[in-house]
Amino acid sequence: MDARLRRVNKEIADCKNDKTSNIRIELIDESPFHLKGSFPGPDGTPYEGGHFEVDIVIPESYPFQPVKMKFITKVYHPNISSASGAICLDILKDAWSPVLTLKSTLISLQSLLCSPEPNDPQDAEVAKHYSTSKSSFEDTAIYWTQIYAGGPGPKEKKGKGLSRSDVRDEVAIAGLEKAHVDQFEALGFQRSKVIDVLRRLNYRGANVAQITDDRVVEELLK
Amino acid sequence: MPFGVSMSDDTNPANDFLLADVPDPTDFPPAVEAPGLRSIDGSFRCTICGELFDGPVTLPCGHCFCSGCIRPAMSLKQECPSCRKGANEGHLRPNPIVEEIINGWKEARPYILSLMKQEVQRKMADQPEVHASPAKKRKRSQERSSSELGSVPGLPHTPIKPRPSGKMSRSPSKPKPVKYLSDGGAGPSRIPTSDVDEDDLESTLGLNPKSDDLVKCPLCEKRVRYKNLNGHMDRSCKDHEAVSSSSQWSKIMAPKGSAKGKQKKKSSEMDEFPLPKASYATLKDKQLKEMLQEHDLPITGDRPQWEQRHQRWVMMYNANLDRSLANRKTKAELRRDIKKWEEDMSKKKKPVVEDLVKYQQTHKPEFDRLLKLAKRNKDKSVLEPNTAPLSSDNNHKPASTDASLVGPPSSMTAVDDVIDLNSDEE
Repeated sequence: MDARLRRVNKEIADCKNDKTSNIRIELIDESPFHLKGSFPGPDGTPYEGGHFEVDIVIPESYPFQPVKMKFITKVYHPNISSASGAICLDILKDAWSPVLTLKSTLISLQSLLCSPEPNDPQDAEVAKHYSTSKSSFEDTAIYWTQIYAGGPGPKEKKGKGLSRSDVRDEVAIAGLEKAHVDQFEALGFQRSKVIDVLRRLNYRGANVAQITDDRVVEELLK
Repeated sequence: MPFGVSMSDDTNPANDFLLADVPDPTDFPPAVEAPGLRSIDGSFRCTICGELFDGPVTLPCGHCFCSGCIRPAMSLKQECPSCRKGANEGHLRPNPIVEEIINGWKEARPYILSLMKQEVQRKMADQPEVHASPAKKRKRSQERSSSELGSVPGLPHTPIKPRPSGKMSRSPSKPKPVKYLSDGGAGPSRIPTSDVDEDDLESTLGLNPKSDDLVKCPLCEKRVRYKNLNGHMDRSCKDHEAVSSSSQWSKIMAPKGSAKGKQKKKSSEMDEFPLPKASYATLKDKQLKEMLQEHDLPITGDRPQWEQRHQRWVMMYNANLDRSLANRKTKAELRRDIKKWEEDMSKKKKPVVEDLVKYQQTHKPEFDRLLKLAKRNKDKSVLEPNTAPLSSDNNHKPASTDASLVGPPSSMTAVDDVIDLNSDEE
């Protein structure tokens, strides 16, 4: 058994035996170098209560080269691509160290969810949303956690509750206000297109006052 | 290692790898049951490979790694992998104390584990509740355990378990009781070599050596005749005395037993100095070949392979020097290791396609299948353009997509989505 295999074997055993970290690693297919990690969303964040799965590929020269990780579960986070799940985290790139393990790397991902870094974004649109209006961003992140990661959804006590219907609310997924979408839809544009344009323009929070209706219509007519 | 992974498919070949017994700290019970053991075993392991330290070296920051692990890591990044303090290969210092501890632990580990197993069996036997079939088993294990218990200190002639590895027996300073046990099977003719060491030999030679006496060269620690010592040092310890030394050793060791002579020959075979790293870009093919031949390495393959081979050899050779003399491998063993390493490397390499046309023909069904799949996915993304980046997770709740949200195919929105995807990819 080569050294890489031995190490991966030990790492999985280590995760199995650690009941406190709540981090799990499973096999995906017949390769021991393609795994699936999962962890609960950290408490006190919009990701609380969610269950996040990560695709793990262990390269040939592991542990001297970093593991390749990306989210399987869709996450609304400035440093995680909302489309592909690609992760922007230094230890997965040039700050990797051979003493890091699958478990410690998954814990780092968990803590990345606690502390978004919008100045070094992976998903520019999400990062813009985060910087413009943190509360609106959090509402969207909670909604994503609810529909994709099995989270509990928005807390009723916050008052500004999002609809908890089974039908996915495209407006909430895009992190927009229903009133804004309705306003432009009333002008005769397709709802889906309105959502798309408003999302791209980052039509949220304080930005709403800065973006004129003409600008939005201009984009809609393009 | 008792653990199973929850798998949907038990015939998965990867299960073999998970069930394979790789020793790790979790072989010991958690601290509440056996305080300290798991953490001891954990701290005796290199944080890079997870194995017990092999040729441990210490960095200026105090962190310890296997020499064979830290060297390749440092060729990529010159820092301590644990604390990221800057360090380079020149800073590595062998840590003989840790190595001795590991030698002892390698013997104590299986011994402790077997004792713990016996303890568990004893507790089980004490329990009054008995089922039919386990009772039989327990009885047998009890018998065995009692015989094993009898062999614990005081009764050295019953071997408790096979010697873990041949290499360990050469360790100069192993804990006595364990050594006694593991040597028990070797028969009475075996003399414990650990007590007679080089220092003792030195003292028998006296402080004023005669011209024909062998003395240790202060530079290379090889043994040379006293009358030749000055010449030997003048030639920077590079005289061809391998042949003569072995005959010398057989002469001097004859009355003491042959085992010792063998060991000495081995250590004298190894030069004590680490090999310098080569800057391959400045070397001609011929020079590189000579460098390989100098160490009796094959010159098969192409130039990149030679460079890789030589680089690896230098790494392995220098890492080997960080082991204590007793644990050091011979050059022949190292050559075997590098051969195995090259074989593993070539296995891992993806097969190179020589004849593209033929390859295309033989794998046509596969290509067709992938093409079909790609086309279908493309159609789907055109149909549902607006849901693409944000809610392409179709299998989550298939019926939930609001029909009113799905617009008709529109090339415009499809293009927008492509742009979105690109911007996401950084």
